[in-house]
Amino acid sequence: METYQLIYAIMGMGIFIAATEYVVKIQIFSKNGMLSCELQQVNWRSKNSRSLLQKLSAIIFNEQGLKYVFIIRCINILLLFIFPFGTLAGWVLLYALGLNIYISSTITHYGSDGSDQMSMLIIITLILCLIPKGNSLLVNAGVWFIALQSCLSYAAAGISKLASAEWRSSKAIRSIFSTRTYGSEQVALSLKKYPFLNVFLCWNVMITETLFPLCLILPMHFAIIFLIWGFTFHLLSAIIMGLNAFFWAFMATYPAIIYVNLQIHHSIF
Amino acid sequence: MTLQSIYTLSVIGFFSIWFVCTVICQFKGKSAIFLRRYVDLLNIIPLWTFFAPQPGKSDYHLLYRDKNTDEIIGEWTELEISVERNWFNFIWNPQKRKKKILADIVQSLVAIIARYQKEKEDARKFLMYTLPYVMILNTIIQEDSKIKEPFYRQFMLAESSGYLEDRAPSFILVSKFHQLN
Repeated sequence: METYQLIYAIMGMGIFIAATEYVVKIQIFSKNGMLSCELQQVNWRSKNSRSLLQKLSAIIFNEQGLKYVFIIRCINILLLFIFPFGTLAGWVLLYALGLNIYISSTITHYGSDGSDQMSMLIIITLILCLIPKGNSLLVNAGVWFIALQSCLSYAAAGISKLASAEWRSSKAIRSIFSTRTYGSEQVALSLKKYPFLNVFLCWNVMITETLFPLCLILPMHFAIIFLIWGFTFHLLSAIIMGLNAFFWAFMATYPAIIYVNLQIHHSIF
Repeated sequence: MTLQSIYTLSVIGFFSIWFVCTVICQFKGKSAIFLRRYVDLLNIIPLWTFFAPQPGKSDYHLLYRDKNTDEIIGEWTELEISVERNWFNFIWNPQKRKKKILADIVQSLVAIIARYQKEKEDARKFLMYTLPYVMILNTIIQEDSKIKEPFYRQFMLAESSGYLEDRAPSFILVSKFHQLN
């Protein structure tokens, strides 16, 4: 249960920050915003205008309604630091948080990223596995699922980069860091000045991501190297690229990875 | 078998299926397309291929200009989306969503344009009825005008290569003039 508490604490920070970011930029959901709810309804509106979903959407899916959704999310996250997991109250709050996140995610996929996907995955896992009076098999299954999905995410990212000619030619990182969207001028100029850095960074990311699942089975003093790499990778991504949410969403999976690693070694030895 | 055992096995089964589906959906294939369209109704199968195979190497820009009834056309005005980040953005970064939304819209439009080019002759005239196009139009339609009594508005999506300017900026899409209300 302590593993889940740690997973939630780290993930909760990320979701809380993301929710406050949405509250500040809530106008993107306004009538003339980039994610205008009226427009997004074109994609999912059912033909039955008297359905419950239609009525709910009229209340929630607008600028003001979504502002309350995100504020309630922040309160929910804080309450979960008070009510323990494994209790009915804790489970109800988890379910409410999951529902809250799911509701806002149904509006559109535009603007969402991998951190949202990972957070949603973790929340669903917590809801399914932390039912009151659950058993240890269920609790273990959830931790294993989070750890395996985390390792799959790194491996898939690494393999897809290895399959890319742009990444193999060691140009990708310089290209990404050159953009105003995901880069910084200082870093871009440094990468232009020191081309060997591009080669090192590109291949370092490709190889380490692809081999990341090894951290589940290697002895802890080797596995920790992958975790330190991951921590550094996500921290630098937050600093250079502004991808702050990725740091929390993926760090939240590391307690699960450590738990599974220790369990594997405990079972084998 | 108790209710709890049935529930536990169901959850383990669900996790197993979810994991296998996630693996399949990391690849571009008919199975992945089928799963995403007909199985992943809740949109919970993640895609983990970040910045690959194509790394994000462009900044996207959204510009608009107006025309009045006397055929006077104003200058292009850019919407502030790709603003410089601040030092604290590694902790709190509210402006990242707009950039991501625009990037996603551009990618959707590019994919739609490519599909229409294959499917129909002159199919691009249908582009203005697609959701990404309408989203852009909806966003720029209420912006302030630089000319007197504007009657029509046109937008342009452009891309640039960022700080190092390895490539000249180019446009992705220039819309027709749309009538303002």
